[in-house]
Amino acid sequence: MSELLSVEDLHVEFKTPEGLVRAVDGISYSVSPGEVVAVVGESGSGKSVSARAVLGLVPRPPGNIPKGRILFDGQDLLTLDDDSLRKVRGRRIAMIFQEPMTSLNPVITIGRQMTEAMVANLGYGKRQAREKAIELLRMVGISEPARRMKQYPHLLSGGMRQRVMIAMALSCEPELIIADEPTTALDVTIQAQILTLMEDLCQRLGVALVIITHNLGVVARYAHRVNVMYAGRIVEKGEAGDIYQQPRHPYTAGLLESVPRMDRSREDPILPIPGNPPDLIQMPEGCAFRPRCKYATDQCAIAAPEMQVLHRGHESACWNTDALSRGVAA
Amino acid sequence: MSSGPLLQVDNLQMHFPVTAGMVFRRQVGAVRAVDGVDFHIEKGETFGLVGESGCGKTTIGRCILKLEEPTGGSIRFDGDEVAHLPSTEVKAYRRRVQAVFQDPYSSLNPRMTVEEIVGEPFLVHKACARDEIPGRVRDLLSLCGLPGRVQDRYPHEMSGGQRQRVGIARALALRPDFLVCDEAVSALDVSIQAQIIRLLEDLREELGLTYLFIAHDLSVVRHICHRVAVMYLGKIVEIGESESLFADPKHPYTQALLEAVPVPDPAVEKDRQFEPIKGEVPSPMNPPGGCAFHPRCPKAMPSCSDLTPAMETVGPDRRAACPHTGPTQAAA
Repeated sequence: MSELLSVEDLHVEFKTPEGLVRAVDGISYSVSPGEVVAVVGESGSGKSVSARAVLGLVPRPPGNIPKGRILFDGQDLLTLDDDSLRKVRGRRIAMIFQEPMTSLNPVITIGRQMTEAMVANLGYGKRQAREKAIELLRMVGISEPARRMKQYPHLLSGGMRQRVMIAMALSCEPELIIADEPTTALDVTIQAQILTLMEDLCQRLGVALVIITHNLGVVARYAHRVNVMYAGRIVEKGEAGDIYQQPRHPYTAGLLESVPRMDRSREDPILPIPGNPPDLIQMPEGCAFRPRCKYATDQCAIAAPEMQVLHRGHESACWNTDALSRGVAA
Repeated sequence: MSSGPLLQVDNLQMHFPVTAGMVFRRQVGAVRAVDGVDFHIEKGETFGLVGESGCGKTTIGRCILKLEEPTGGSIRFDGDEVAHLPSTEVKAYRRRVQAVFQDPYSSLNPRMTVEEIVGEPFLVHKACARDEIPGRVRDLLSLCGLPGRVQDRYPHEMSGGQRQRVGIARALALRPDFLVCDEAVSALDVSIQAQIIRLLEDLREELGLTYLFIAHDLSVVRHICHRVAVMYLGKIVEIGESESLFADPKHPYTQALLEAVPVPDPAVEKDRQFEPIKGEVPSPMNPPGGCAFHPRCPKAMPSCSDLTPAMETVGPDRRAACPHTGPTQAAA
């Protein structure tokens, strides 16, 4: 299958008064048409910044992309000028953000926000755009769509606003949707509704989906392939089943052991990862996870491990994957 | 000290008035945030309160903390009525009941050092001499797994997990018996969340604390709580022992809620067929008649829109407010 999106050795850095922050430090991943790919990580791991870079939404300055390529349908988005990028963004790649209250304009009606993009990108007439908007709102499960079109965002609940965001994202029939923590602000029953809706729509319309999240349960339920990020790098990637069954990076393994699970006995202890994620301004030498890793050896302090292929599409950046799979701490 | 439960809540009500009019303000309705809630918490127990936003779980916590004056019902702490405590006695009560809040960013004063934050309760309550405070603070910090060198830092110099540890240390300063943990681990990253859960569990055993643990993350609640109450629109719909409630939920809302939580394992998720419940939580200003859950309930019958179901015993140590708990009842 040819790749729709291919991020290659992407670096994103920010100049701050304290020093240079390498928010994204050489990551590569790809997405095929119709696929659901997850980028998992904790705050500060660089998952959101990498997604914003794909859409050209990293403010420059203070941000800078010194290295890397973002190939979308064979075209490097980093080399495009603003006008050409604008034709891709919103039209062929859409984005759904975490907080639907701040990403919808509070003083413009839902209807105008929905139709604006269609008029600009697809050359629709006002009436045609309105009809399509109503149809989309109905498709994402909003009752009385014609009445909602006249309303302002504050009249809608969080779940409804997120549905509007999804409808907007779908309005220009994109090939790829990037969803940054799309359900983090929502209650679990609404989260389940929204994600199931997105999964269903993407499957039906053949849209590829990149979900950026910290929720390992959401990833397990919806993603085909997973990229685990830590301190600006991808430390493990592979098919969801492989990653969860047999994590081959100590960080992934630690994450999975630190979440309580509904299907396990309550007596099963949760095992936290000790310590805190590193300060991106003062990164430790060698592997960034070393100070928290129970498998760390001398080698880990000298050089950061590169990604190595373990078997069919399962890769990990760790010197001690063997020790990990045997469960022997250093 | 009496031999009954540490905390006994009976028919608790908190109705917030809704007013209209700029000049002639009048009450046009009420938000029934908490609408007749009963539960008790035994000494040494962790009791969980779960539900979606707006179900009233935080308001119950605020009533217990005396941050809100309930409009009805009673709260008895260690046998004494505290729902309408005179303001002169609130301070003594607060020595025994403390809180840990969700957001370690906004619940710590950014202009105070860690020592001032954790030491403030001693000053307010005149609990020890001024020169003893630094030593006490150091002990509290080490109890919460923080090195002594953070004592002179400001909150912004610390990570989220460290800040939450400071919040816990402050709550423990006066050696309370009871902690209200309102979404105490919700804002934290997964690996840090697990650390704080472990800390709370260890502290409970070590100091003999009792917790009211308010949270929306069901996996966390299941892990940490002994007994759990599930709330919907200001009412408890099901209450019982944690392990059995999560294994065999009786109320359709509890069932839907549990089903919506994804398990972090694709092998489990692959074989799970599920249909998310429809609709959203209605407004507590104008709740549906009868059972408040009936418009979303897959098992609703015509009678559900007329009759408000009462809590009934549906199994050993289990009560639920639904007349149609049906066949699973026999299995229990």
